[in-house]
Amino acid sequence: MKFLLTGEIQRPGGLRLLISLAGFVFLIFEAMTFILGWNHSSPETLTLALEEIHIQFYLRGIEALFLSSIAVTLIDKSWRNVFSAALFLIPVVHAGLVIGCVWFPMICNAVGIFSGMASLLFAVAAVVLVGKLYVR
Amino acid sequence: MYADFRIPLAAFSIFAGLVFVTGVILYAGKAGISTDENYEYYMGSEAARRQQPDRVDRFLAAKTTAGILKTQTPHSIGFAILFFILFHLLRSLHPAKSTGWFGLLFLLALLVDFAMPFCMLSGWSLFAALRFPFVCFFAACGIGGSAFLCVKVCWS
Repeated sequence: MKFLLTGEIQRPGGLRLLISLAGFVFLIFEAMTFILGWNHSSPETLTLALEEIHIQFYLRGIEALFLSSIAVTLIDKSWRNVFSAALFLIPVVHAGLVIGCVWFPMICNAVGIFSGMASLLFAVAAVVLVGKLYVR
Repeated sequence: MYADFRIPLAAFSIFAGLVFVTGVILYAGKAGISTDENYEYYMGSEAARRQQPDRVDRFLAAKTTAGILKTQTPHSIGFAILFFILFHLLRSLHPAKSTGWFGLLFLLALLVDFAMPFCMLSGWSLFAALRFPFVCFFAACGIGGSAFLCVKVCWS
């Protein structure tokens, strides 16, 4: 866990393998949310929308924290803030769309598309970061 | 040392806070705020009407142990991870004794929060009055911890 604060992940040994495994689990998670995203049934009530974003904030929050913490040591300084900001802004925009969908049904299609695209982006981020751990 | 991690840590703390905020809103929406509403949510409309015959029937079935476990199981692993990360970061950024006490309080609040529904099902209806205030207290611990982390990351 110390890499969350120090970024010491280049040390050889188990840590790199563990991070790779975490990346692999993220990939599976993203594949599932991608499928769910395309077949997204829009929430009709505020309670349902809140339920969705409650889970979203939790899962994406932890995932983005791990990915951006790894990115800090692997990506150039000029890009890492853009990368982190993107990972954290995506769930916020998604939450906004899900809540907005309750009152403005015309944006419901955008929720599904955005959710799918967000999963794809997170999956690509996980692959790139884990790949960078090995190819330097 | 933390400068590079500012954005991820600050954003994570905001997200963690939002998890607790949405959790309280969801609980209030589903179970209600008052003692009667909470009692009815767990014990069912039939038991609630036995206590107050003039109340409006919401046709709520009484919760079962299996039903509560279905909600508690994902929440227990979820909160375990969230508590671990949040406390790890708080302890690393603010290694004071007060952080340890806060962690203990948070953990105790979490355990009591999980035990309360089972106590109500066991017949301790007193907990219906304490349920919503305690949910708020537990959420306040989470929001407070997240807010402190955010402040510490942004202004230290």
